[in-house]
Amino acid sequence: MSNTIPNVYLAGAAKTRYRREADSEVSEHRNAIDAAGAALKCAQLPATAIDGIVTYSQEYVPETELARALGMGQLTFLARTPYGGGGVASTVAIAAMAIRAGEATNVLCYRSTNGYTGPRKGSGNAFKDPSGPSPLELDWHRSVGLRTPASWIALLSSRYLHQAGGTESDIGRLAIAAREAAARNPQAVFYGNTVPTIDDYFASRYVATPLRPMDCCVESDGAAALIVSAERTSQDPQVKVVAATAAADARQRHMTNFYEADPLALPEVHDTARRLWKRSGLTPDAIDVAIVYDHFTPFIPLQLEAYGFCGPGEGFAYLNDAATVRPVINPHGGQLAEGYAQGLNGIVEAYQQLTGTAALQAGNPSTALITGGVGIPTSALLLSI
Amino acid sequence: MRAQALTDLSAASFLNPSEGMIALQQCDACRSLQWPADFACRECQNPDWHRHWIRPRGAIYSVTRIHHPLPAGEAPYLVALVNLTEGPRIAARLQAAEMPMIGAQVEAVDAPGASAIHMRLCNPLGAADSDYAGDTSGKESLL
Repeated sequence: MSNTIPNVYLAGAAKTRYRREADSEVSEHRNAIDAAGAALKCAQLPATAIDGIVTYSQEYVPETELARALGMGQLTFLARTPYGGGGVASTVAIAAMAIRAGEATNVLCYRSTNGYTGPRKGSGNAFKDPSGPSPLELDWHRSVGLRTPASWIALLSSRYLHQAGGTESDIGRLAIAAREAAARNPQAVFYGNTVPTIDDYFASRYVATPLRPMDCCVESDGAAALIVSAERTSQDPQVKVVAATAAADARQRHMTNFYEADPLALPEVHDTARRLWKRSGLTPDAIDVAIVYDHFTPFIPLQLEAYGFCGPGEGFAYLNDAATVRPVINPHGGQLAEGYAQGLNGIVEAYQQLTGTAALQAGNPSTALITGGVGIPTSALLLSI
Repeated sequence: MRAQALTDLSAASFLNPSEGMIALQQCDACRSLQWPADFACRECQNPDWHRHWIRPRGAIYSVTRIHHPLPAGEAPYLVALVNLTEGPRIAARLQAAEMPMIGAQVEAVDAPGASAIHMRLCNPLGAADSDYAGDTSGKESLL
């Protein structure tokens, strides 16, 4: 069946520098325009070639302002995907569907967020979109003192470390690995910064146990953009969209799935993974680069379990065992340390790794997995050259 | 009753922290108990329900110490997920001097003027039936 579905390609991708500068006056619009313009240049396409645009429902930069600034022509397809970073791969999935349905030929996907100088997601007060937590969820959790994403995830993290036998050192090492990469990544928030030691990690304050600031994604200003295309471009190598899937669990809450028998079962992630592997015909051992959604450190090993890189409860052992053959994981420093663009910077990173153009190039990878946010309806993407 | 408005399901109307009581939402059809409240029974989707008041007791499923300064002056405080004897799991404030163990038994306390149910360890010195729940300072603490 799969060979009867026309191929779709990632023709270009770009991200801005990610910043935390209190006096920055760079708007989300400027960052979106710069990222989209750079993605077009990367794809060697004029703006007039774009006939479709896909972004997140939580995006504040309107499609038409971007289109005017870049000089696009007729647009035949516009769509948005809900649930923030859960929908990161859905941008590509929607673009690919539009292309295969004949509604568009070259689709721009973008996300721009001033998460530092603008509304702070980490405050728990920045959810203006219907696909954020519902008023009822916010009411029930604020009343008990669970007011922020970190506080919600802390309860799930405590339980996960307890069940999986993980330690604070285990998650601290993941946080430090992200900072170590970011220190060498010119587009990262923490570029050029001294890499913290494990002692620095333990000396830092808690946000909500077991999470410290280094365990939480870095709220930052910046944007990312992709061009999804029907046709092969002149580029070499070609980056092919192998599979893009998404799933939501009907009983899903917004990062507060505390009330099910096993809140760590992540049925939406397992369903996304199952269909991703089935559709692609690939298995985890074929993956060279894994961009694992890293809103909070404990969800890196938990997702590696859900995507089948290791068994249930084996995430920490999988990451800690020097003898394990693993994909390169978040070589850019991820959203913990490069910047937070609700995951779209991760797809850009995967594209750059596959085309040999990454700032921190990790060998010559030919396959990449990108996962979406966890604890919300989610999605995942497989790319290959 | 049948919830018509969001406010019919507000947390406050299911809480009586001053007397250490909470109301589980009980389905009029299948008698299922649920927390938090929803517009319909999550088991049978029946929209009609009543409040089933209890003084909660149960076992800690997970726990965190919140250090966020939101609102200022309140942190740090403990929040636990508690598996109730009646079945549902709830989120509650926990009064404890030390970080408790996952699995420890907890019970409601009267918390006059509080906005959430407060609970305490049934036996502050007692052992739980599972591992240390986690802290805070030890580098290799079993969370």
